[in-house]
Amino acid sequence: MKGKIAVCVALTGGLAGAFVLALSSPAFAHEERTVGAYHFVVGWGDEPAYAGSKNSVQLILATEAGKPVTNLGDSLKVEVIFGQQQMELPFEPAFDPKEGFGTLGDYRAWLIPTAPGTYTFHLFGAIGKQKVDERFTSGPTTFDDIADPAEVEFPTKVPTGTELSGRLDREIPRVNAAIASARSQAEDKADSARTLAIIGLIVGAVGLVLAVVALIGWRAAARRSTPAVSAGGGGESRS
Amino acid sequence: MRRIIVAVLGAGLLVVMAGQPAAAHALLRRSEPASGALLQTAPPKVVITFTEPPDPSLSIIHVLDENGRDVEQGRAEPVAGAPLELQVALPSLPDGVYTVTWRTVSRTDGHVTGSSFAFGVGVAPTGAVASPGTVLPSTPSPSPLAAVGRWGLYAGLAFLLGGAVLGLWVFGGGLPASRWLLAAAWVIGALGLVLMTIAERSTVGVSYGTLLRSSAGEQLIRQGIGLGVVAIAVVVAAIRPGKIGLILLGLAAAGAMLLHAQAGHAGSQSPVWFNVGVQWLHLLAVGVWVGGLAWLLLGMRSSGPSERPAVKQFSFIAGIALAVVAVTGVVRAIDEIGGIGAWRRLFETSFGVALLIKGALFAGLVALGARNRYVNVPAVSQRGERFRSLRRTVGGEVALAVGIFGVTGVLTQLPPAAQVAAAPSPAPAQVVATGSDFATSARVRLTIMPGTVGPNHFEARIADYDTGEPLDAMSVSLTFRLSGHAELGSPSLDLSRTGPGVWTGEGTPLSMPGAWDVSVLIQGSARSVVVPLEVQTRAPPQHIEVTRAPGQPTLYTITLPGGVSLQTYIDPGTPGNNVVHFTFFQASGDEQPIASATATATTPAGDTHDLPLIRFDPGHFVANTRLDEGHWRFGIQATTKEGVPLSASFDQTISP
Repeated sequence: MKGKIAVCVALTGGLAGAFVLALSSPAFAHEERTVGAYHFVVGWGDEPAYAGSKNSVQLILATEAGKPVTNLGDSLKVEVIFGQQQMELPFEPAFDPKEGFGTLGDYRAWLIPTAPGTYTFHLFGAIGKQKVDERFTSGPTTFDDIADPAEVEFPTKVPTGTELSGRLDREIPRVNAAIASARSQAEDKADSARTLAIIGLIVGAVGLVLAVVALIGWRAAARRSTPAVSAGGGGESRS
Repeated sequence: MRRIIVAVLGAGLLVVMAGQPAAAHALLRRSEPASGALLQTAPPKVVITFTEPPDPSLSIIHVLDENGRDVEQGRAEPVAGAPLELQVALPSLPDGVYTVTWRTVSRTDGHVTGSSFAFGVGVAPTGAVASPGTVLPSTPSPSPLAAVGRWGLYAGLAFLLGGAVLGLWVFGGGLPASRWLLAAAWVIGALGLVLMTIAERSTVGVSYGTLLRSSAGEQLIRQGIGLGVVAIAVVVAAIRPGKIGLILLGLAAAGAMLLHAQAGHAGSQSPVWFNVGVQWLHLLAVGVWVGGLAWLLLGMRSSGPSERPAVKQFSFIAGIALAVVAVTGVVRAIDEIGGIGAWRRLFETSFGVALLIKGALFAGLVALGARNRYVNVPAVSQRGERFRSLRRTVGGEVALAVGIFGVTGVLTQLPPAAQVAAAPSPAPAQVVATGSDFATSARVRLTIMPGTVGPNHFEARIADYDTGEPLDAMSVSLTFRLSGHAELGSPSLDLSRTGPGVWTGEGTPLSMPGAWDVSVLIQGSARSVVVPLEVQTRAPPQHIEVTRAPGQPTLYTITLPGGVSLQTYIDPGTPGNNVVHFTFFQASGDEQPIASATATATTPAGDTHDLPLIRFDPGHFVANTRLDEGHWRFGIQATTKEGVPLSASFDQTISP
């Protein structure tokens, strides 16, 4: 009888353990890979992952036998790669065996991904005596790409900080160009007005000169056309 | 000589072949309602604007409902103050899809054009009628009879004018050959006009009386009167030879050429006086040159001293005429092509190809003329040598000119390239969406072909927002979402770079009809942008047969790709509870097994909801639904056991 009870207890315990293990395995999209003596589970700490929201590179590290690695220290780092940009981050444990919180072997490298798209996590360094140089790239078969938050924003879609700064980067040169164009046009108009004024002055001066010359000429002609009157003629004579 | 004749005949054949896919002259420029328009209220009339003024008495506009019945009121009528437009009145139309078929005859040159387009009242114009947005202009190919007729008219008038000019300026008031050749030339020209009339009646398909009462007939009558005057001049010149007769003949032939120039393309292009003037000058110069050459060939029998000055004098006149032909020809060609910048139309349109062939023949003519001018004529006029060479070369010139007349006969039946370009081209089967990102850094033009549910080709053109230059990117992907259909998820599609700023891909993310939200993710080396777009799937063109029988529901048989057909009907088809049946059949008549299917119903108010389907058989589904009075649209999307997607829709008005 005791034997049967023991078997039942063992079976129940085994099933319960399997259930707990099943629950503790990552339920979200992560990439799993065994490298040497260690098993890596890598992905975003929060999924679905949206641009502009705080997130983390999550590494759940265990031995090949499934025992969580809790003494990683600072020997392993992650380089987050987006396009041709890269940033190196340290892993921090997201658990505390003494306090009893978190999942053993869960390490995080915190960041705010600001652009939607494909990211690559380059893990390098060492775990114990084993060197590590592994790349994990987001995608449909691995872990999520960073998504545009507009997909889930409701009721109002708000641009991300990156989009706002991008808009500013675009608008400032346009505004500057518009100001420069307006200034150039104003200067052109001022130049034109100045030129017209100078031309007006010159035309006026020339007109004045012509008027003076014409007046002098007219008077001279008038003088020449006036018949000379003899002194005793009784006529009027101008000199 | 034989080679030249063979070359000319070959060129003529080439031109006729090049002219096969001809469009027309009075092409559709726009219409109201527009092709593919979805109207909320029924239009009171249909107005079509053409590229050339149509002849109302020979033009037809029919408006057909979904059952193929004419619904227009009365004949097509001209629009006051708008000579390019025709209109037809409509009664109060119920909701539905209407097909406008039209056929018109150009008032300017008498050419026939036909086409059709569809618009919808209350419902999108898809289904059993012409695909939305398509305009398929069609017209008879250049008629050989008309081409021969025009050839005869050109040749006859050119021979008469050339004879008059040559007689007056080279032979001192006489003709170098028999006067009865004038009568023969007139007969050729008159026969040409008769053939043109027969060809026009045959193309338009009306009686001679109707044709001659139309504006196209009026042009033919005018040319006939012109030829009548020419006949009098021919009689005068033949009976009383001399300068007076030749002057009369020249003036009459020139007048007939003017009437012909007015009846061609030049008569419809603004400024008319300039274009007709240039065209007339062109015809006159051709007449003097080619007609004179023919007379010279007939009149020169020896290189005697009396004929040497004639050769030299004609060479001088021909040089001037050649220059006028070249200048006026280039001016007209530029105008008809649509400007120098539109030179590509020379290679892209039938008219352009015919023009190139004419130009090539003309170049050959110029080469022969140059040989005469600089080699043969000096030898003949100074030393009395190379006379036979001169005659051979002149004979070659005349043969080439005859070929050019033939090419011109075809050319005048083709729509000028500029008009073809001005007419809307058939809309390709595709959906286009454009947009930009919030940061206004990139513009995207996404083209989806065919834009229907199922497999599609996607092409994204990415350009800088400000400069329009192709934008460099490391990757481009599309993510699709259909509002209200979370079960479809967010399928994505990675595109491949196929050129600067051009990314393409193939896929089936559009799995249901509707307005899809498409996010274009453009990932650069340092940042990424998302461009949101909205894409409305296009209803695939489909052929529907409607069967109505008393006491039976209306049966719709929709032909689908791959020989598959869908039979569908609504029982009883009156307001209240109804059963919608969908049954797929193979080409053999057996039922087509379906793996999965979804159906939708669009209410008269425009709301679309899913129809819960119940499977009766492997290819037979039914949906129980309540239908209110009004116009409904039903759609079904299915996938066969073999994985082939099928999509169909039909409209039915539910009435008591």
